[in-house]
Amino acid sequence: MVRKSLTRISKVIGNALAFVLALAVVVMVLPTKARSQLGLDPCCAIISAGLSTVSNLLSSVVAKPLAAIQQIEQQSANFEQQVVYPIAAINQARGLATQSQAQFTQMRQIFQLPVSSATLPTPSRMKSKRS
Amino acid sequence: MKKRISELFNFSTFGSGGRLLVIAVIALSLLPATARAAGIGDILTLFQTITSTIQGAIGGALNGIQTLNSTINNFRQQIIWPVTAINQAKASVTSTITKYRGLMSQIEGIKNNSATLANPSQLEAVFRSGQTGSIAQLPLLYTNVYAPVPPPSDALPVHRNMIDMDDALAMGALKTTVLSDQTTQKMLTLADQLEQQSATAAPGSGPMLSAQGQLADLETQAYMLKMLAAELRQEAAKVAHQNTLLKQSAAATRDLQNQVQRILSHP
Repeated sequence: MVRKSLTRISKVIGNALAFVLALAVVVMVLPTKARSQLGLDPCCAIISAGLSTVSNLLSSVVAKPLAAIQQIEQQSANFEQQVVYPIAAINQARGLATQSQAQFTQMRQIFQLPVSSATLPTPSRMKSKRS
Repeated sequence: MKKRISELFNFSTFGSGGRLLVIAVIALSLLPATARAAGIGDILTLFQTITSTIQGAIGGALNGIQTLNSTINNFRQQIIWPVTAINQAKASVTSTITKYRGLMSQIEGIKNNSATLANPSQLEAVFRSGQTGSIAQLPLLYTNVYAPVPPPSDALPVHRNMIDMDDALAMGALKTTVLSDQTTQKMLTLADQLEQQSATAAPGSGPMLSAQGQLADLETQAYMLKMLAAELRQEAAKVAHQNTLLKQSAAATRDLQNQVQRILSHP
C-alpha cells in the first residue's frame, strides 16, 4: 500500500520535473525578447530600474540646469542684440561714417584750392615754391 | 510517439547522477545571458557609477556653469551696461542739444562785417563769406581797396616785387580764411551729426562714433596747422619786408657817404 503510494508520488514528481525540463527547453529555444516578456529574466528588471533612475537623473540633474542655462544665454543674447549692439544703431553709425568720409574729402578739396595771388614773375615763382 | 516522449522525460530512465546533470542544465539555461556575461553585481556597480557621475561631475559642472552665466549676465546688465545709465546718457545728450544748439547757431550766425564804404564792404563781404566760390572775385576787390602794383615806370623793381609779394601774401591769407571758414562750417555740421547720433547711440555703436570724433579732431588739427603755416608765412614776409627796408636804408646811407666824400674831395 505504502509502496504503491510512493510509486504514485514518484511518478507525479517525475512528471512535474519533466514538465519543468520541457519548459526550460522551451525557454532556451525562445528568443531573448520573448523571455523578457514572460518576465523570466531578472536582469531586465534590474536594467529597467537602472535606466529609469538614469533617465530621472538626466531629467532633473542635467536637463533642468541646461534649460536654465539656455534661458540665461537667450536673455543675454537678447540684451546684447537690443541694448548693447542694436543693429539699427550700428547701421546709423556706419552711415554717419560714410557721410563723414564724404565731408572730409570735400574739406580736403577745399584746402587744395589755389590761394597764390602774386602777379609779377619773381614773387610768383617764390610763392609757387612756398606752397 | 507519445509514449516515446514520455519515456524521454521519464526520470526513471536517467540515473541519480543523470538527474543532477539535468537540473544543472536547467539552472544554467534559466540564468540570463547578461548575468552570465557580467554578473548582476557588475551591472549594479555600473549603474551606480553612471548615476554618481551624472549627479556629481555633470550635475555639479552644469550648476557651476549656470551660476557663472547668471553672474556674468547680471554683471553686464547691472554694472557694465545698465539700461538706466544708458538712457540717462542719451537724455543728457538730447538735453544738451535742446539747450545749446539754437544758441550756438545764433552765435555762429552773427555777422561782424564792419566796413562802411562800398569797395571795402564788398571786399569784406567776400572774405567773410566762407564761400570758396567767391574767392575768384577777391583779387579785383582787393586791388580796388588797396590799389594795384605800380607800373615799372613809377617804382623800382625791388619795390614792385615787395609790393606784389606783400599783396600776394595778404590776399593768400584772406583766401585761406575763406577756405578755413567753409571747412569750419562743414566740421560744425559734422559735429552736429555726431551729437545727434550719440543721442540714439548704443554701447556697441559708441566706439564707432568715438572713432569718427577722433578722426574729425585730427582733421581739425591738420587744418589748424595749415592756418598756422599761413600765419607763419605772413610773419616771415613781414620780417623780410622790414629787412629789405633796412638793406635799402644801408645802401642809401652808403650812397650818401660816397657822395659827401666826393663833394668834400672836390677842390
